[in-house]
Amino acid sequence: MEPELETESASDDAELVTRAQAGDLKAFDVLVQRYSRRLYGLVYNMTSNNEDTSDLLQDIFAKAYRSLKRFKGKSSFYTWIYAIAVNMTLNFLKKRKRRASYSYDDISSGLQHDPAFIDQKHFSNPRRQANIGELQKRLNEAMQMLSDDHRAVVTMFDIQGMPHAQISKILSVSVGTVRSRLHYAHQLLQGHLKEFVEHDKQ
Amino acid sequence: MDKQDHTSEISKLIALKKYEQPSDEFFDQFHAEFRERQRQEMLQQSAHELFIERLATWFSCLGRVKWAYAGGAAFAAIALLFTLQPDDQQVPTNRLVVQPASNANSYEPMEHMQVVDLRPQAMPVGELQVF
Repeated sequence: MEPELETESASDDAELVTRAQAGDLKAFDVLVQRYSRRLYGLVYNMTSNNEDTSDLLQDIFAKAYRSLKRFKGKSSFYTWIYAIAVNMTLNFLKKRKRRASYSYDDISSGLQHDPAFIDQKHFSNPRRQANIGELQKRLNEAMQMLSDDHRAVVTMFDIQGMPHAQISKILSVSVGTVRSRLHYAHQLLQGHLKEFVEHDKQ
Repeated sequence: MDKQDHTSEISKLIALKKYEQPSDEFFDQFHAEFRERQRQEMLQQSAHELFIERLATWFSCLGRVKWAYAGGAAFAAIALLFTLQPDDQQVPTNRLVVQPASNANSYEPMEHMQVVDLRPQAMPVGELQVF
């Protein structure tokens, strides 16, 4: 979320939260609609299962509503509910352990216009001319190689564009720890996605 | 290509996963399901809160008698707690537990001790026994 957008929506959120705390369900509905896509992206990329994501997201919003009276506004509502989502997802993954039940969402057509994907298609080496399906499969396999904690920081930083400081606040770790986990995760991912990274730019 | 470039390329590659999204219909359905779930939880919560409120109202209307009720309830709870506690080593009062003579000075676990039956033998019905 862009900082300026976050500032604008933060004041809107504060008003909606106040109304929801007073019992206004419609106010909370607005918050759900506002953040469900972002939180879906977080949970989905950590679990790689769209059915689990749907169930977990319901639980996350339900818990957020039940805990709303304890929200004191020390952080933005978005940061607060995002932290709930991260913690519940990590707990879910611990219980799920090694049950590898992946179920992916379709990659949207927006991918076709992303510069990073366009670069991929123009590789001279035939091995690297991956179609969308193959690329999606390899990306997800690479993500699942990571531990839950490393996958969390990669999801938040690389996929959702969250700054290091916000990640450290949500995970209750130092910024240094966030950077360290990202660095290690990127090294692992690089090993698995080497053929997609090393290319001759001509 | 140096390490910094590789990291940046990896980051851009992983960022492509942001395009993995469900349809708009999914989110419409999700919101509808959540609203329904929320309202169900509200109804259940209301029933529970109503019960507690009615209990509190009944209790407050008892006047001074409520303290007797409260004391009685506390006593019943404590008695129940003691009753439900398992008896680990219960020896009947009409039994004497003695150590075997050879191990008189050593500690013996209870299960190795002899139990002497102190019950009166073939006591006629109606006769009074004085100890």
